[in-house]
Amino acid sequence: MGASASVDVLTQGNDRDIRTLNPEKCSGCRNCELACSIAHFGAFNPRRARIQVLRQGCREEIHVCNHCEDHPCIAACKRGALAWDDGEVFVDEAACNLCGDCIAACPSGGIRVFDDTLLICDLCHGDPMCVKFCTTGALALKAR
Amino acid sequence: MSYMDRLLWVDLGRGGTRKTRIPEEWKSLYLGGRGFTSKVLYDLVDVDTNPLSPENVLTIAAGPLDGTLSPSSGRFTVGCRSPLTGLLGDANSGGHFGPELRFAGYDAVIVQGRAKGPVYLFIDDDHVELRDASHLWGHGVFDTIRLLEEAHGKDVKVIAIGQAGEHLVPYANIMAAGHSAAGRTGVGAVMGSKNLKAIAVRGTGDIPVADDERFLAKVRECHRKLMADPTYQDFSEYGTLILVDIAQASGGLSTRNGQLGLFEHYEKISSHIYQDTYKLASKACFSCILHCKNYARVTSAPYECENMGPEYETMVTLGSRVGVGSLAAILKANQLANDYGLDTISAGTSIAFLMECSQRGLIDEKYEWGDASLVIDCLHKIAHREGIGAFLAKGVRAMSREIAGSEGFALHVKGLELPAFDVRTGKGFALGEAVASRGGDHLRALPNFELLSKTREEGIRWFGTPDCVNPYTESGKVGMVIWHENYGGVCDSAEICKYCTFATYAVMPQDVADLLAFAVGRQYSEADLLAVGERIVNIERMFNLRCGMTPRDDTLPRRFLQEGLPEGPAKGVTVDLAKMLPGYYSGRGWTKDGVPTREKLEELGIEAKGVA
Repeated sequence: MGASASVDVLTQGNDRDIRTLNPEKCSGCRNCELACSIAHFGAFNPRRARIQVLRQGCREEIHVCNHCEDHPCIAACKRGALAWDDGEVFVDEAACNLCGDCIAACPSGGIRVFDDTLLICDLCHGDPMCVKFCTTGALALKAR
Repeated sequence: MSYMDRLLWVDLGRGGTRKTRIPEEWKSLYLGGRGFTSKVLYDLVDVDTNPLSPENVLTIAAGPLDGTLSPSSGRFTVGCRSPLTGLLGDANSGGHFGPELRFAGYDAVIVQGRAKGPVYLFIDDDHVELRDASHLWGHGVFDTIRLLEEAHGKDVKVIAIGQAGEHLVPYANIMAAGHSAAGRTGVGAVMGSKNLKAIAVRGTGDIPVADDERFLAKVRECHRKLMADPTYQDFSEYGTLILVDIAQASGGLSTRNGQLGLFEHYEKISSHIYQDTYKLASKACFSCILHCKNYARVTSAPYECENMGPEYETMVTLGSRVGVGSLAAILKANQLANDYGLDTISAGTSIAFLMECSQRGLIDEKYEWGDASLVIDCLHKIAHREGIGAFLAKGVRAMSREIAGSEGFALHVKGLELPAFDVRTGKGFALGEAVASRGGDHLRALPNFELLSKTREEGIRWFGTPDCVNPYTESGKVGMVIWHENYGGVCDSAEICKYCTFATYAVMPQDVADLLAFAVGRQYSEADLLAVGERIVNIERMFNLRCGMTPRDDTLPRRFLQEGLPEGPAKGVTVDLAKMLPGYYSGRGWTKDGVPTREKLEELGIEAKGVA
């Protein structure tokens, strides 16, 4: 039921970890969005975040790239703008024309465009800020 | 940095809007939020301004930390002259509206005049527009928000009034997202008097801070301190409903309009029962790790409902205070009050007052304690001012003036109905509510320190006296209350929730000073910051004195001064304000009559207006 937390969730990750989503523990505080945007853009702005939490009644939907093994977004990209490397989707911004094919292909609603930028989670290259600032356990790290 | 540095002025009479920079003095002396709303009120609202006239000014202000990761810093304050008290009115709410307003590029919206017909304000970043709201008028808060989301997208954040605000009920709320309430002193009626149904805002802009790295490190430090605090676990698990249990244990669970401090049906409304029956989830306001909001659903007739809440105040004022021990009925009443946009404290206390008048035979009609369907019926009628609702909608002070012999148990201070906590079981709270600038209000001082079983040593360390930790004694309370009021002024102007600053006592003034320094890029000492709080307390005092309040109004209902509770740990205890008020006035640097001295005003940089 309720989100529970302990001090030790404020831990450091390392690049062997992957992120797990536990939306039933999410309180909807949106700290993950804020941490993501300041980490990547140097400002607080949930619309620039690569993770998004949408409240539906008492449920929170967490939309973020899950780095799935078959990564259909990459297959969907006709311009070769996306590539898979060591568990992350890399965006070649010069090649991306924001057509949205990857967005349509993503099964988790984890890709968005804002301000002419394609937003896909890069796990902060191993130590994701969203997890760092999540105190409920809705976002957690586990060894790959 | 951190300030968006823009005020949005809305003239409903002419239908125009303009944007200005924030005066430097506002930022340095008043910080934001409640500091801004009270400053605007002091500067722009006259003593002869009718609260429901176009001349009243309605300010909605966020704080300089809104929209950032700063803990629990997504709140906003609405200020205006109160139609309920005739004095300073303001109400503070959490939710997600304050941050969205700042993402749109504004620290505050200042609304003047009155529209010819119903309108709503639509803010889409730089684009600002007044739109016809005829199709929204008459709708409750839930429908209004749904219709605005359908029109403008799910991502707009809305504040709105319900039918209560439209009908100018003097304790109508402005609701954020259908469950967070700017819920005291009738700010919703003022919005209704302006024919302003709602404000919908979408903000897509950035909020940079001065020093990312140190700011984030400070946020993490605050999170750690919060999570290590014993109160954190209770609040994050049970929300404020834990206070129902604490109140019953201390003999101060306001029952039958405060005639009793122990509720016979306490077990049915305890936090554990709520947890085990209707609760579905814990929810958070923006950037808050306490997540004290409870989400619940009742599926069985006749009280089917689904909503956030209730919190402690509502559980008591629509529960034990009116004698109702049906949890499902309280949840339903809470949902109705949220949809109508009614202050549950004022509404519940008005109904409780009527019930006691009936009990004592002061009126002919029968209104029985614990009659849940009556309470729900009253809420319908208050919101529409129908039948008995028209009388209840006056509030306790005005009602008691019409019923001889009822004054002693009319639970209000300065016209504002008293919150849930029975101040006989917390003398710091008693002083705080007697002097609060918005009348019978616990949140100006909120001296939880006396309730949390702190040790005598902690009392000495924090406030120089072991007595401050004994809630039943008047001794040792003045300094503690003044500190809480000053720091509370800081929290309300920075728009940080007081539950992370002094229910937990984790985030302290130096922490807020650091958060502000790393966000705004200017240095604040702890003393600077507490002076902002003191300045706000003083300017609000000056506004009230100008409006005709006198220090004789710094009092409590006779019930709390003369009637001891009949049973429980607080049996026989009454409040002796004379033991605290003189010390409070002198501790504040006010005259013995409770008026800020010229020296104090000069020290704080407040220009004396309209008070001799």
